[in-house]
Amino acid sequence: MTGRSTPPGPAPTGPDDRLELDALAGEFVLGSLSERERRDADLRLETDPDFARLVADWRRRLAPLDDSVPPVAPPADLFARIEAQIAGQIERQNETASAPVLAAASMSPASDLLLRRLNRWRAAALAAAATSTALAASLAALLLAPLPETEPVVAGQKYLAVVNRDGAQPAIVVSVDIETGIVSLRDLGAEQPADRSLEVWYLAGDGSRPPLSLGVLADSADITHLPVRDADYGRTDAAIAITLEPKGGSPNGDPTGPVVYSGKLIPEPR
Amino acid sequence: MPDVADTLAAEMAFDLAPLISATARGDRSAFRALYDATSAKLFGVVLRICRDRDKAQEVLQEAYVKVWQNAARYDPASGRPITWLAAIARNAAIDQIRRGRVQSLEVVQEEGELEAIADPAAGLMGHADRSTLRVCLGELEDIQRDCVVLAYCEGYSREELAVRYDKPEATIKTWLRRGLMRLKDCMDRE
Repeated sequence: MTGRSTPPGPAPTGPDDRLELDALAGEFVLGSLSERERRDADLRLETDPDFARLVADWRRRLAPLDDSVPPVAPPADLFARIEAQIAGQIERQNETASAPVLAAASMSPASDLLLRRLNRWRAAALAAAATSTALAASLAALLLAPLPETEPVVAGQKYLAVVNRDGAQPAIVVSVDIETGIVSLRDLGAEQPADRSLEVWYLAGDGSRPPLSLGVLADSADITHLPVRDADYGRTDAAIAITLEPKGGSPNGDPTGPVVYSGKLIPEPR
Repeated sequence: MPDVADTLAAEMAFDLAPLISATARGDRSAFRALYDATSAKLFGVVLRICRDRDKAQEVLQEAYVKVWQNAARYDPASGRPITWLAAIARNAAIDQIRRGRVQSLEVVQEEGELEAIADPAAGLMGHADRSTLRVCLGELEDIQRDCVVLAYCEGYSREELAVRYDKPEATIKTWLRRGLMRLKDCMDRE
């Protein structure tokens, strides 16, 4: 075994557990799992190479079933719509960030590197879970937090927030990279009504400044990239909150909807 | 006249992997080529799960945006390119129907379709994996096979299968898992 952190769910130790994990992988590929189990399996897929292998095997075994489906030409304008959606995302990233344009480009193609990064995120998730219940589920309460000590922003430092609701499963992992100027949000299963947007806010924690909008979570993407805005991400009580807003984001620049997820910002372990 | 599936299979014969890696580098024309080569197949897959053309279009759009964003994560060691693409599309479709679909599923299933999928003589032979899967599906008990095929092809959840067969979800789970494990034993043996 390697020294990676334990994935969610029971660790596969014996043959029975192994069988259980394999059956879970099979049902994940079938698509028959409950929503909750599906979300857990999704997360596990990112963090547990054993599980990922089992899933890949099931995909290979069952793929021939896709061959029995007659191909159907999609509408002629669909590709244009896909391009428009991608272009919109790129444009938003380019507004202030000069760094890599594509979501994919900022990620290492080496999957083990990605896994290491995700495992660090997981470790941070556990650390953050301990404090997340202390974070109130409203901006007001967050803003009333005691005056924090501030820490200087370290060049090249990254900050992380694992945002969730009331200490439940992490919903979104937020990574602030000062060096590249990109805030990456990895959606691990946040619930987003189709007619609303999830808006991301930086909170200083002591009310010294109003909530700063970092942007809106992409509708249908696993990863959203937003430009880093000027703020003290290393501040002790700094936090990320996510509110439910009208489609496209708050109409007036201040949060108008309820906080659905929140999490404390912490320096990423190097 | 050549079978549509065969034509498609021939088109698929050229390697999609370089198109995916070019897409990962931000090459739009490679992305377009990838879309042209695969979108009809994926739309078919998605349409069968969603059953609604508008929803299926949204799902396909979402799937290709994900392909663009995640192209760098494709690992050839984990499977064929088309399997990876289909997994993204199926995931998006299942997410979509879990959000929207209510329990009272209309059964649009034509009688005999399940048999056609599992029947080795259905005319889609020739591909080794395909025939192995068919043979092995044929070895399952009818109810296990139907549950596996309905879940994979039509996006039935355990809950929906429980309604369809008027059984507790726990029973469905057992059928699915027994079916999967027998399938695996058979396929690994073949």
